[in-house]
Amino acid sequence: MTTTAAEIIAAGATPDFRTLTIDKGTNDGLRPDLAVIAPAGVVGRVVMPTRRAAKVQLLIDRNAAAGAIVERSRAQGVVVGVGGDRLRLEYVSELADVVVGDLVMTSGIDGIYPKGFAIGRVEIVEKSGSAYTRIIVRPTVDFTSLEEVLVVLPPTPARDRAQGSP
Amino acid sequence: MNAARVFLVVAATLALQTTLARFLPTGMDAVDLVLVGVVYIALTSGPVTGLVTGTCAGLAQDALASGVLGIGGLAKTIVGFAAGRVGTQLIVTATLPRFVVFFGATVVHAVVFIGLYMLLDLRQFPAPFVTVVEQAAGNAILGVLVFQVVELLPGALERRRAAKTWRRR
Repeated sequence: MTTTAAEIIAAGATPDFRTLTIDKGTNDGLRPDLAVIAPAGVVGRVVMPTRRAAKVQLLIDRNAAAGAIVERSRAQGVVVGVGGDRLRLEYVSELADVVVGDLVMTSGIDGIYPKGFAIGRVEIVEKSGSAYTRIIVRPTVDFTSLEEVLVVLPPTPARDRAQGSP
Repeated sequence: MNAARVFLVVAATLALQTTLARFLPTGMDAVDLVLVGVVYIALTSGPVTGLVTGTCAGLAQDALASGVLGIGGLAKTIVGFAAGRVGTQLIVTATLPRFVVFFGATVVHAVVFIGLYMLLDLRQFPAPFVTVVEQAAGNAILGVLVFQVVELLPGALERRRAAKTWRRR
């Protein structure tokens, strides 16, 4: 996996969309739907790259989502942003085992976020009978204090050859 | 003079929104500084200036955000005009009426903004009520504070100058 480091140069111009602007753009190989990560976990995805900068949609945005897996029980679901500072884990089977404190990671099924990156920890689990009604996840990334991020670049044949891939 | 003031407020609030807003504590990070600026201008300069400020600020915000160009512009235009009308028709010099105007302006803005996005099926805003109320409260508190500071600042400077002159004597 190849990444490029980027610095955050601005926050979103409106609080209705949770975005950040980074100082790398198409000149550096960025394109839409590339995953953006930080040491603590997943930050979001590139949505609007220009030549020298790119807008990143944060995972906590109301319209953001990522395929997720619970590390302990391997229960799968989809983590969606709610516009606030928490995430919601949805589409979890009622047979799945999810408890407070579980680490939620990317499952890789969305084709954007690579598998195995931390998303957050389960904070609230509410059940109605056997079905889960609400699972709230606290993100591992503190979106208010981010300064630098890594953008996961798409694989290219030249890069694959350099890394010894077949 | 009015044009320079509008430009200055739009530029300053946009700069603050894109640099400082994300460092605000949780709950206050939904504050829309640009909207606060538009309502402030509308209350102090009237509906036409409010309308123009709203249009300019909304379009600039739309251009910088990842949304559709014009929806935020329309929402802020309506809010700027309505707040200006309220400012000319009613007495809004006390803290509580100002709080109500900022709160109401944020709610109207959210209704138009979210309503248009949902009506055109461009974005989903699942259960936005809590966020809107938080944002309205944050904007109202900030708006009232801005008014207090702007009104108290000339008096404070005058008192400081007078105290210095008195000490020299």
